[in-house]
Amino acid sequence: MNEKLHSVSLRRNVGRAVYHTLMLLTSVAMLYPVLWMIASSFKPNGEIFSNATSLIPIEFTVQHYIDGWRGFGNYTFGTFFSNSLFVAVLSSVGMVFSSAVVAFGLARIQFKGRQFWFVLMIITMMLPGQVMMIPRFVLFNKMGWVGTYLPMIAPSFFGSGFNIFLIMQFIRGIPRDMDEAATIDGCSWYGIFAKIILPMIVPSLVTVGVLTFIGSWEDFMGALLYLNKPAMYTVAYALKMFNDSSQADYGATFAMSVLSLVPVLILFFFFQKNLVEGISIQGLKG
Amino acid sequence: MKKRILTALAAAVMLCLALTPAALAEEKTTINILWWGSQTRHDLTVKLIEKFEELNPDIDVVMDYSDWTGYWTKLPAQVAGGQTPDVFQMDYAYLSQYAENGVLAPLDGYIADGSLDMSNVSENVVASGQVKGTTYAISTGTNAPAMLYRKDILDELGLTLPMNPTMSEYSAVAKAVYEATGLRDTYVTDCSAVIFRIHLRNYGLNLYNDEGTALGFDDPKYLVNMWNIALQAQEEGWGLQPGEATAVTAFDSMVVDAWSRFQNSNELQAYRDATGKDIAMVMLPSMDDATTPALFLKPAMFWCVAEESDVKDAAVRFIDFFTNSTECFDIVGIERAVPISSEMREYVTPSLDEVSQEVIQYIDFVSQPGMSSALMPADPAAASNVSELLDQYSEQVRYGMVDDLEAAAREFMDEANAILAEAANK
Amino acid sequence: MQKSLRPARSLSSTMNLNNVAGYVFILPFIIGLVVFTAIPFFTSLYLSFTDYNVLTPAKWVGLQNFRKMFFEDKLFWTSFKVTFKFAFIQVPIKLAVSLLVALVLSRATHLTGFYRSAFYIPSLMGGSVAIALLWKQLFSPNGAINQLLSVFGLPSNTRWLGDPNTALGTLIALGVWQFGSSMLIFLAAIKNIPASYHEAAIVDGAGPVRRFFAITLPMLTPILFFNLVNQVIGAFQAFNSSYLITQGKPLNTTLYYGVHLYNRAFNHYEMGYGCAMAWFMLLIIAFFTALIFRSSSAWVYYESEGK
Repeated sequence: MNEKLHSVSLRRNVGRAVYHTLMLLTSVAMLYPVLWMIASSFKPNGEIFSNATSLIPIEFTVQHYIDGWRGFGNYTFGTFFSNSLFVAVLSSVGMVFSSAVVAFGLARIQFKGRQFWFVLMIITMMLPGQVMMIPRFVLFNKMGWVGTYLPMIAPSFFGSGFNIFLIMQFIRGIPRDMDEAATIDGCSWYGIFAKIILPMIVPSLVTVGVLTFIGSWEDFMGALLYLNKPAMYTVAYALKMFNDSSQADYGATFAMSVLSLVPVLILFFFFQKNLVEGISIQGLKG
Repeated sequence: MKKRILTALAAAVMLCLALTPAALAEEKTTINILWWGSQTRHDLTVKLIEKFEELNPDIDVVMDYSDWTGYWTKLPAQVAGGQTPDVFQMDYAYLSQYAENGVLAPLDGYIADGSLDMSNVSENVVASGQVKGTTYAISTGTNAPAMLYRKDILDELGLTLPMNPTMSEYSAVAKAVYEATGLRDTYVTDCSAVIFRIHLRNYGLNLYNDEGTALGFDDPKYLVNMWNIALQAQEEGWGLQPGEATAVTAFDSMVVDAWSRFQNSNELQAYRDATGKDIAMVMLPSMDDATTPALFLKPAMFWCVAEESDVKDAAVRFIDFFTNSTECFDIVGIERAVPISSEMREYVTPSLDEVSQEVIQYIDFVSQPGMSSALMPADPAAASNVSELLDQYSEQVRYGMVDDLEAAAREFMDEANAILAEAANK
Repeated sequence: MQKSLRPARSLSSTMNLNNVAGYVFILPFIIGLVVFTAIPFFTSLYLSFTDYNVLTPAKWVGLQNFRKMFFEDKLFWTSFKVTFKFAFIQVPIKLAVSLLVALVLSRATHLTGFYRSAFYIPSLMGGSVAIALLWKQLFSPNGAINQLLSVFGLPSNTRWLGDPNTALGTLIALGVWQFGSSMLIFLAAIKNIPASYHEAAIVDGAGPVRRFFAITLPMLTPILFFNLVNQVIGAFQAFNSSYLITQGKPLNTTLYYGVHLYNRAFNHYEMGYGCAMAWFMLLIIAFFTALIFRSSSAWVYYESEGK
């Protein structure tokens, strides 16, 4: 009896060791780009590519961080970071809320024209952004929004096809018996959404929030097109400015890229904790 | 939660509104300036503009900048939206495109009345900003194509390159360097439109005719010749094989792949900084049977004024400030290449650092009679299509997929002529 | 369904109530569509029938762009084929990898958070200059990949990005390696499967394999479906990796449709042609998306619909 237990726990331990070894090895492979970028950011410019495969700088320097942080003209990366944070936070909050509302409407309520709007939404996902860029610029310009953050933030408050569709798929995975029970209790659609569905789709809302934040954080095109004052530039935009056709400062690019990863990584690490198998619905299902 | 979002949204809207230009003082003239560049240029130009505002208290400058690639997305969008900046940077490759489409304001009037003082600028340089006889752009500085090379390696091997090498002198050095170090040449195997143009200029021809309605040559032998040189270099090993480059960027290619590289004279500093090697420059190799000096002096980039601008006078004042004021060059030096005004050039030279001195010496050398010939007219708008087409053909040739080079050359010429003719008839 | 719940109400009044509620909920989307999307969307459709160089107003040319696309532009068909190849290879691999990894990482151990973050990092670096430089470095003839191969005595002189036979594969590898966001979505979906289902199955004596096929997989199908649609659309619109790393080289083997479109629209100032290309691609994507939607009734399980 004891021996049997012992061998089971041994097998479990061996399994665990194998699992962690495998995962750690894969993690290193996945982490390689970041390690490479961090290493490069501490190498002097002449060494970055001549000693590219090595992750250990021959000559260690923090100069790239100093040069990079200085930014351009009178604005340091401090300004760009706070601008990016402002845009990304507002965008993701707006996106989570609006997409959830719309997704609920499309996934749960049988109304006239539902199919039509759904198809329309999917179609909006299909046109490449590159050809929408100029017409969109012209439109925002007519609205007087060029030179403000509005073109980069406001659309998020009206949902996007990708996120609405994503949340819809989650809602469709929730049995209807609960809404029905609630309906009998006199709950309106609004009540069902707020009290029953919303708590159950938290993982998908977290996902939408994180993905939108990252997307907004990395959005270079929006900043390029719509911002026209250095005081308003975002990190993603500023990062491009170290490299021009005739001069390139890869060291500063890497140094600031490393810093720009920090907020998104923290966010990701913090939120992924919410995504652990099967605890959310348990209580409700009872 | 809802309330908080609304508050945040309201705050966002208010913040955005607060940042619109409406808040600016009214009696001042506001001009928008847009340029591309990297950190050094951004820093210097911001300082320069602050100086300009100080000296011109009636003008307020709103500045905006980006990197090179982004610039060519940003500028078209602004033009399409009717938001063309009052003053903006322009490249020789795009000059006709923007001038012919009416985006650029003619500047001849301002030159004539002296508000844009070109009295210390040579006629050729003024002409470089002209399209079909009208001046649309003012060069920011003078540049010349150059062959950057690893002087440290040549010194070590006891080799030297003359200041104006011929192709056989150049390839002899290239072979010797390859045999000793394994480093190769990337110039003769490039086979792009830029290189082909230089090849043609050896024989007094240009890639396009003066009107830009057709190719400027009608014998396929020039193209065949360029391809043959490339293929031979590949075969002998001293020319880089297609797809063989190990370099990640143009800068490190001068460390890991090649000992030389075709660039512009004002890039010397950038290459020294990025590689940490002793890089020097000579003129591009001329063909042994050349009839004309192939090299030319060219505008590094231009300043332009928007045709739709309401404040052209103020915009012109900025360009004049950039061209003719000592205060400007105290700040920018030769960052946008060697000043076009002879007076400014004399003024700025003594205060420059060593690398900049070398650049000026190079330009002086190329300026000597017999070393360079006149700059070709700005490329027609369809040039980007032709150069893409040539890249397609050259790539096939270099990958050994073309047996009959002459037939391929003729095919390219027919297609290119058709593209140019179609564009000209629009 | 609502009818059976509320026998006191007539069908039509429930429908009315639903209509009002439905439109209230999707109102943000409709406003966004009208204000931000509709005009640019239809402008681009209009532009596809024009000669538009961005700098001057568009000129109507009828079907000329489409004629040029189908019959004159050789690179159009080249890029079309490249994109199909890219999409059909990358999508299944990426889906399988992200699902597998999500399953492995759905359980909580001390290091799960670390693993997840590590696996997500490549996707965080998105289309940045840094990733382009890294990929070039890894796959350069004497880069890390070839060095690794030589350690195992394998052929190590492949010019990964310079050889027409391997270049596209190398870019696909980059795409697969950035599986983070679909992994994240799968993770969220796995978390949403009620633990009670698994508990009940365990009581019934079902092993992990049976539970995977009987519970996890069916419950994941709506999200698998979502990821499939999303990845297909994304693959057909692929742009970044080719644009940043190979610019379509060598010999156009990595010339994605999106890159060709962008070159035409922004390098050659042929925006009208670019729009025509975009709308043709929209039709292709719509066709495949419709196929996937059609097929979904056969394999997607919705708890809410009990099928």
